Amino acid sequence: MNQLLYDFALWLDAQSWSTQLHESFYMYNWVESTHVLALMISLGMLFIIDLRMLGLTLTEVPFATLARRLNLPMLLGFGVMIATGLLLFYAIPVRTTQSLWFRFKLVLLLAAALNAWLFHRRMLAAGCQGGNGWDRAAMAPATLRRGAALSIVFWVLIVLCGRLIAYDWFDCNREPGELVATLAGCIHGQTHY
Amino acid sequence: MSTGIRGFYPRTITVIAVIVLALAFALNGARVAVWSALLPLFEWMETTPPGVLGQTWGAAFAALQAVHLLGMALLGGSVLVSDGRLLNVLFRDVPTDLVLRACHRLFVWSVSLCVLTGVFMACGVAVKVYYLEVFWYKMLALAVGVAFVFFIRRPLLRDHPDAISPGLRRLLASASLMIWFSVAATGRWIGFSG
Amino acid sequence: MEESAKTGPGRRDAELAALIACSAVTAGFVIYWALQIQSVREMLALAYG
Repeated sequence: MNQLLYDFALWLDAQSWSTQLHESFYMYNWVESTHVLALMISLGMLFIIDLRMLGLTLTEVPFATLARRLNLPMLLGFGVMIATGLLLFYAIPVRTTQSLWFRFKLVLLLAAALNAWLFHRRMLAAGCQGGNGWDRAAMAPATLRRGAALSIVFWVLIVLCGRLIAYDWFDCNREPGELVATLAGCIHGQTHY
Repeated sequence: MSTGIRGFYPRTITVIAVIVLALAFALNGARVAVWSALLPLFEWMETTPPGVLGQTWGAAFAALQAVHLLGMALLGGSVLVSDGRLLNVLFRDVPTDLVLRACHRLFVWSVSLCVLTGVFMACGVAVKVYYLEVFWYKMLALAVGVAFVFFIRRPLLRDHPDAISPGLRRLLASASLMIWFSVAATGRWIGFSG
Repeated sequence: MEESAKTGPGRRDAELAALIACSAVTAGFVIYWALQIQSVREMLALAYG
């Protein structure tokens, strides 16, 4: 699996656009800035929804109204983040594929997506259609509050891992310990980093 | 009873005075003199415990950056929601003052978090950022942003925000979006410079 | 200062101050970003012709 990922990363790395994007000071930094600034839209909206669930903000606004209104900007923000994230990966494929933090980040992203899906299902099951029930209460039912708290925890960790990708402490070319090398997918005898 | 213009328009006069003083400061030699005088402060910042920590413990610096980013996300959320309401594109059926009040509370928390982590981060790279033009633009944008929120926006919108003309509401929202976009974008560019 | 924003002249004062501040911020923003874009264009022209 790691060999396959490494080969795929090498293939991406061999493409001229990947090199051009990596070597372009302005283009690369603009893409990275957009990736980071889109966080203010996507995570900003997500945190407000989660905090509303926890009864910490906008408690007078029915939950269904809040979620409906903030969903679109949040998804737009996530769309920009995914697009720019893919470009950032494309610009530095080999190192990113073998980055311990990037791998943690992907696992956490999957966990956050699963949590969001479960959250959405529970929300519908709890009768959050707008207008009545707990929808107008200051705080959501306990299962949904747990989902909201988990969502915040996942995203805090995702941002932390994203930030740590920039640091090279556990890069394969630094010959890390066996555990880190296994988790990062370092290939024995690899020549490209 | 006060009849003089100063009695009726203290806030307007203050704003004009601040703009004139800022322009005078930017266009004469005082700017460079103040900048030069600040160098010892930035050198000292690097010797403080947060400064030493930032330079010697990369993981702590990275964690601080992550918290700064999370504060920024919350700040972005509060600004976008409140300005979206003012621009009439978000929560059109929710009372404006309710949205603005909640967002202001979030704004105060998030901006405090960003400033606190920002000061710690700056301590670690104080002399580097001192020589970066973009750092000073960010500080300027941040100061303008905080003054704008507490001195202009909040007093005007705290009571009966719906009584304000739609044009002024849109102008307030677009100025606010410009300011916070500039603060974030110049901040990100600090990382690429130097 | 905060109190005055609730009543007639105070409100007019707050609105006028907001109008001036917003105009100054918008002008400053346009000038700053126009200069930034211009300097990037010059840099790119220097690098690629």
